Amino acid sequence: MFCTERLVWGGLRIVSTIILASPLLVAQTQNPPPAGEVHALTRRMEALEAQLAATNAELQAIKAEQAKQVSPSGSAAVLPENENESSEASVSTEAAATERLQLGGIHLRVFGDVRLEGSDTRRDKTSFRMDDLDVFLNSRLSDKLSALTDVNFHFGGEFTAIPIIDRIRLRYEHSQNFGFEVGRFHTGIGYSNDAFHQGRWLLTTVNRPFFLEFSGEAGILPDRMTGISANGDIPSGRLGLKYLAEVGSAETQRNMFSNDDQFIDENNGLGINLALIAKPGRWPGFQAGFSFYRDRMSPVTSQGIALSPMGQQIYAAHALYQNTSFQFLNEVILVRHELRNGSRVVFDSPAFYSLLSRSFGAVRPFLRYQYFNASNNEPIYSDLGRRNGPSAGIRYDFSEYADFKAQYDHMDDNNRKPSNGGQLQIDFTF
Amino acid sequence: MAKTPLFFRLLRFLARLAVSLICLASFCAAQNGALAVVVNKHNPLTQISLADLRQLYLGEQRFWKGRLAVTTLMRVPGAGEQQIALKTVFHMSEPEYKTYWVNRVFHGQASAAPAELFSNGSAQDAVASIPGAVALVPASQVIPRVKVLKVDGYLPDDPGYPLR
Repeated sequence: MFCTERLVWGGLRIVSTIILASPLLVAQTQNPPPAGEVHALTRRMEALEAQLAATNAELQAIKAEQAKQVSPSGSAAVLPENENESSEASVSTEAAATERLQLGGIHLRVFGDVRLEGSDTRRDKTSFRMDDLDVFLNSRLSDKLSALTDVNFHFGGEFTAIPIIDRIRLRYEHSQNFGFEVGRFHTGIGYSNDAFHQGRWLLTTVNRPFFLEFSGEAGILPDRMTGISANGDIPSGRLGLKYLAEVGSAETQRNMFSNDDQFIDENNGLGINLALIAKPGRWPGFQAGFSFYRDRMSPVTSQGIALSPMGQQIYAAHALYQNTSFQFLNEVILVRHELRNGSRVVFDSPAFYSLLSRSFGAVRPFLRYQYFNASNNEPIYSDLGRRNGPSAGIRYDFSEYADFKAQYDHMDDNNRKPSNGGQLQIDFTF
Repeated sequence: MAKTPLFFRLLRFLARLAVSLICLASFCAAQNGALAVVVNKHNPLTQISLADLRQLYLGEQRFWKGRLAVTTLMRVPGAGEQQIALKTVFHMSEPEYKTYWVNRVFHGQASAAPAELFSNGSAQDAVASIPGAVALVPASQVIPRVKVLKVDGYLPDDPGYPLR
């Protein structure tokens, strides 16, 4: 009886111990630290040990120096108390925290792409192309001051590369409602021009809509401006209104479509761009906006022929919804050129595009339609005329920072035969 | 000496077992992954909505009230705290989060992504030292030098707390 009782109590103790210890044993196996974090922690520990050793050595040196100081009475000198010692300590702690957070320094990122393109247009040959390499640098100079530059190395023949300063600007952000930047930047006309820069890795499609390409590739907008830009939030509650005001000189030299040797130097004056954007908090991912740009031009062709001076007004509106898996972009633009040669002739050139895409894991199919219509007498855009057509394709992110795209384009053109083209492209960034 | 009756010995054992289970339950509750939003003690804010927290960490809100610049702090990729934040605050996977910040920085809308720190201790040290800093740390590891914000009106120990 006594042995049985001891066995029973012993068994109960063993069972209760197992019950109490099992959650701890399970917790030891769940969520093991990633190997990368272990290595990072080890390196951090070694760095801290080295820093501690250096600090101790410095402290010993200071103590030794203090011990050598002797007052006139022969006793060791007593250093005066510093009334600001606690605030200096907190400033140095903040400085150390800031340094540790790497709030300074220059951050570098490179964007590149390689593509294979071809079409059924007689002049186009199927070929590999690597147009440019984009080097982006930025630095956070203080809590409110930052700088960035975007240098585009445009590849030419004979393995040469021409560096072009696409953007360089200094930005000061005073508050949520006001910040300004000076330098060279992409004009905030519409949405796409300032949302998509040189890095094609950030594009869903292989390229921008043809009329929104950079002016060196026959795009229609004064895409870059040197001047000053102010922007910020407008107190509007959940409506999420933002404003943008830019003034500067747009240096637009627009290459002719399908003939890079010819261009028009728009010889822009002082341009002004104003925009209003709404990003309602109730619908994260939704954005709508409107912009108005005004400028004066005195265009000259590449042959030195001066065209009629004209006023330029660009109206742009956009509405989009995008999140990490779904994207629906819509943008409409109207470019108005008013001749200032006494004739008061006005040319209106409308353009729009829509892009729809959805991701299924790493694969993102997309569909785009683009349209542009300029009169054949339009002095700046006569090479384009009316062009419109769909593009369809797929993007596959085979790595975090690299993707593969395949795109088919069909283009109807009232000045040329309809064309069909295909592009395969790999984009990357590092 | 007479032996204690079996009934009372069994009762005593069950009482000890119950106390041990209560202690274990408290330990487990503290390890349930609740993230606290901590800010500098001089920050006048006492609570924040989940939507506003998301705006902070996505760089849409760059200033506290009073023009104090926001400094957002995150744990390094792969850390449990970062995974909870990605799921409950950003609704993004880690690659999507990285792409978002590459885009934002390249666009010029931000000069850097939230700083990544190796430990909760260093994150809280930074929060205590930088007036506009905010970090997400396990609620069980909050130190007295920082202030915990309510999220949607709940503290980390409250049943409806959203950051778990």
